[in-house]
Amino acid sequence: MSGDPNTLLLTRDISVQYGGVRANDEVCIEVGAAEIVGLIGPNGAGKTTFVDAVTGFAPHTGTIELDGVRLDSVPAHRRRRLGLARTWQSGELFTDLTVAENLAVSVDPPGLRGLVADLGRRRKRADEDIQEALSLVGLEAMAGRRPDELSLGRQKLAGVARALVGSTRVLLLDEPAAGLDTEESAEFGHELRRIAASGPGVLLIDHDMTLVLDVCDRVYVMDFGKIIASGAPSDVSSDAQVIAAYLGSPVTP
Amino acid sequence: MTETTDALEIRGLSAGYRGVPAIRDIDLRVAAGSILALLGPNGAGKSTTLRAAAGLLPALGGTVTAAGSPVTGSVERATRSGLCLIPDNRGVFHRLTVAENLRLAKARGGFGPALDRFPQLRPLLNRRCGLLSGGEQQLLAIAKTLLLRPRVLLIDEMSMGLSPVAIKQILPELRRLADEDGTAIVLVEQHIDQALSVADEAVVLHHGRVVLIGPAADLREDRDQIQRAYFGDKER
Amino acid sequence: MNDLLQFAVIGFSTGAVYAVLGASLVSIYVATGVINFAQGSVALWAVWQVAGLRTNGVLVLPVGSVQLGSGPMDVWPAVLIGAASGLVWSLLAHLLVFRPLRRAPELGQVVASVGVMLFIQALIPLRFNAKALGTEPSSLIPLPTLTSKVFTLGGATIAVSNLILAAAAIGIALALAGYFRFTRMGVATRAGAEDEQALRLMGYSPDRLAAFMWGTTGFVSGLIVILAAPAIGGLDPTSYMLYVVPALAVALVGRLTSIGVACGAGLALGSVQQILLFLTTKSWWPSWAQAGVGDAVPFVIVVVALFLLGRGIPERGARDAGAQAPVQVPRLRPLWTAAPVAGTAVAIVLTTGQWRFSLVMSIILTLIAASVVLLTGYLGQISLTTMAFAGAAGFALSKLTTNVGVPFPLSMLLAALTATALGIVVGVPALRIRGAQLAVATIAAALAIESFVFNNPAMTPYTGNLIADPSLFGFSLAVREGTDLITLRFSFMVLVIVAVLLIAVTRLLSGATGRAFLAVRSNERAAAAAGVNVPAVKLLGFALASFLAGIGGCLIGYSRGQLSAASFTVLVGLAVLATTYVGDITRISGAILAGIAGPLGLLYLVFTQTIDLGHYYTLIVAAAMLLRVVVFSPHRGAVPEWLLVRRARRSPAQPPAAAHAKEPADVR
Repeated sequence: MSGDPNTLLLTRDISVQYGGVRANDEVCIEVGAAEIVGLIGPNGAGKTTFVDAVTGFAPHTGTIELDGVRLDSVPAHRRRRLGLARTWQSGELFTDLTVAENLAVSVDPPGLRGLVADLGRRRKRADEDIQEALSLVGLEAMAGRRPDELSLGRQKLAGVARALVGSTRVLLLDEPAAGLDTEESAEFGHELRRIAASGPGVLLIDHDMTLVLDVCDRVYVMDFGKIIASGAPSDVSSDAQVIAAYLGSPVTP
Repeated sequence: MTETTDALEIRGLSAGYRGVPAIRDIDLRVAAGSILALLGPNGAGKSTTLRAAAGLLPALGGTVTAAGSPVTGSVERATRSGLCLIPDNRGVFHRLTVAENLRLAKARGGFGPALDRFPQLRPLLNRRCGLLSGGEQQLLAIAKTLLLRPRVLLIDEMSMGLSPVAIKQILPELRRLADEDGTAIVLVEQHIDQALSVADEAVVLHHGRVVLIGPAADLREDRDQIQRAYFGDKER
Repeated sequence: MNDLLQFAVIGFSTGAVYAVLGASLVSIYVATGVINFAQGSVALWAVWQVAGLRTNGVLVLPVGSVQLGSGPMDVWPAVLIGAASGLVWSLLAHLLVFRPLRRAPELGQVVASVGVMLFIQALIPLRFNAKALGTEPSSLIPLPTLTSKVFTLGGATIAVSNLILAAAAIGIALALAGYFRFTRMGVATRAGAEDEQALRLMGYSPDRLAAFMWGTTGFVSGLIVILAAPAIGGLDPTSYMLYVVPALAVALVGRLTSIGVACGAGLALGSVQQILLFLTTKSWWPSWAQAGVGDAVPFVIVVVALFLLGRGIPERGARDAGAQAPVQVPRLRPLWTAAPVAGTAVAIVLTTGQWRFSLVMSIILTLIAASVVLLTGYLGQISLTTMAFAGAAGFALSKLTTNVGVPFPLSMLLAALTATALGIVVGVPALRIRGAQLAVATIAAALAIESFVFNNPAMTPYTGNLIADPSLFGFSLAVREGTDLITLRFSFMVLVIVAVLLIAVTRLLSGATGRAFLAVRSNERAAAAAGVNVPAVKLLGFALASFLAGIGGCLIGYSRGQLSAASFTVLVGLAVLATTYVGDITRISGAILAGIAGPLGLLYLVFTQTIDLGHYYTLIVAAAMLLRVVVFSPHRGAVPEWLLVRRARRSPAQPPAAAHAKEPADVR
């Protein structure tokens, strides 16, 4: 699989050390264009740490390439601008801004040029981009709402839209479906398919195994900071090691 | 152990965040000296149940009774009635030494009894807790809480981040605690098999409600029911 | 060498004050997570309490006073009562202000402690008046409490009292450190700093532990200042209040965790300041640096300590970082903009003399308050340097117009850009620190600028820092003409400049810049993940805010014809923050209210002219600020948690569509 020209995101030997704990241990993954890749594992396995490392929020060793461009010494906001976007477990929307304005933050950057644009006539925001991203997650009608007026599930979808807007190449989703009920979760699966079909690669972390096994093309399994298995969803779900990681190996009494 | 009443009785408990319930109408009873495993997928409401029972979260409805006295909604009242919670971050203080952690329990006779029970901690007394391994921290958390002489012990995500070896060390200690001291224990665990191996009874939560309840031994035989709740394929 | 020793020991008197106040700040931070800017004010009351008792035995209370005995009280009972008054004030602050705010975001806590600081400072001259004391307060001096013996050591004359003070400071620090180290309550207090919830689960009440700490630190702070007051001299409320700044510096050196380090650093700082004072008298010392060096040292220490140790300062494990004052993104509506401008223009025409002068001051203050709204309200950076930026621009304006002769609009622009550069420099620490620590750095910066620049005789000619009158194309825009206190032309110039800038600010805040500000304020991590360059945005905020304040400072300068250092003190800066907070720190309309209520603005004139409450001005502003933050808090979101719970209990039928669990997620 390596060397695949389709590969967008490639990490090699990502390790993260927290105090004395090795939270990530030489993690290597690949995500291709229009591909949905799952990353699963029990609580505390190091999945979120991995996303933090890849997106520039946790100091790490190892290399990260986005479409051949090395990103490991690039600050977080530059990684986003280069097309590596993420969401957070808890939505993390900007509470003072409407949903559309939340997305707008990702579209037009502030700075001196932005300053001049603000002072002059209102800059033409990339309204179409924002509408498109919102419609991909089915939130067109919520554009003018504030985050605290939305249910937790919708807040997370708005977070996904914020990560999607602009020229996102790879999307890292940290438990986007937690807090959704079964139907919402299935619905989200469809939306995810549509998103991937529009081009970006997706790395999906979730506990909802139905969602992950349904929607992903490939799945990595992480435990104790290491990738312990990978492959097609059907193979992974029957892997004894995976079941052991999730449900615990039977204890001899 | 002579008590016949339940050490912990939860009736119709609802609780949540920002006024939105995350658990609804939970009924649980745990007899003295027995262990209840509280299971369910992420977000099912296990931690919320424990936090509400321990008074960390205001209950939106229902009652919690520990050792015969009502404790709903106040940490102080819960602790006084002998209901103690070990939270999922273990509730140990990383910047304090092991000895200081143990001293915090206002125990008469010092923390000697805790060391008698967990002699592994003795050589670590002057080490800062943050430098201990996860398993040692969990032992310390249990030791510290035992000094408060709990009648009911709630443990959240007991094995999170612990190595299998450490888990196998700690689980028998819990069993001993239930058998010898008659403490009622509620255990929130992801590792189903391990939880069932030590528990007397198990309850599965899903979407904030109890969906399955039964003796641990039976559930261990028929794991399909539980596995369905975890790996989806839910019949609603 | 002997001189150095002698001055080092003299420095122990102030050093002991820094040491104990610093140790108290550390203790309170450990117990509550609050950085208490009011620590000096609490001790200030204690000093005055003793002065009153020892002059004629009168115990002055916040309301009324009690005569104790017939004449002056003996030393030690008076000292004890004085220190006890520190305890009472500290405990009151805990119960009435900080306990209700224990879940409030840092801005609320900083504003509250600044409120307490100003409140006590303003209350003192009102309560310790000639009537209550039976003598003129200005005649009061701190009477000696310690022995006046001296001895010589290797040629240096050493006062025993200074050694006693150092020993007392060390003793107090040892006692506090011992409490935290060896007593169960102390250990529990430290535990609470790390994880309050886990402490409650062990059966402790963090509030009670905090109350004990507030009381104790109030007592020891009062005690040390009472003992040191005769040596450090005077009873000037402002200088005692500002002893908190060097104390904050040494507390930061102790990483807000180590009492021993804070104490040692405090004593050392006192000595260093005295030695510097001594060295400035030497012929080789540069004359421009003769004044204000003492106040510059704490700033340098703060900056260095925050840079080296800032990340190592532990955060309290219970803060709810999410809740902040909600912001309405402004929309520029022509009518709503035109109407106030036109109304103000009419008011300018209709008023004369002092009233017009106050009106123009209010207009200028609105601009300065808008700078606070932008930086603190929108970007969430707590800065106490605003007035110093304004003053720095005024200072630059004076140099530019009198020394270089730069013509009007350019001179003002360059002066404001000078303030901008200063703003960016002061903003650099904000890249590493945030919240209350930033407030500490900025108040230290403000104090350093005040004493090193504005009050530096070497930088001020004996005629004062004159500012040439503005004129445009030969058309005079001077503030004065004949007997006219303030001309129409000048007033209109101010109105036009401020209106244009406010419209520009509104545009910025409603555009991408404002969105980026709010994004950074609400969540720095998420802002970075959304592609916002957080450090750049912070510096941009500091630059814009200091530019606005700089223009304001220039206008104030023009209105006086010279740089009036008194307009730009730290105290005035705090009052501006207070009025802006009361007005509403998240809105431009709040800035207008702040302009009206600000120092020397319209409300002040109403107070002095019509209802004769001028003396009460600062007190009322401080009280309004405390009420605003504690009772009418803008932080608390729409509905408080307990209300939600009660509502949910009353109507048990739940809408099932709502979100499910929000369990604590993955441990990282």
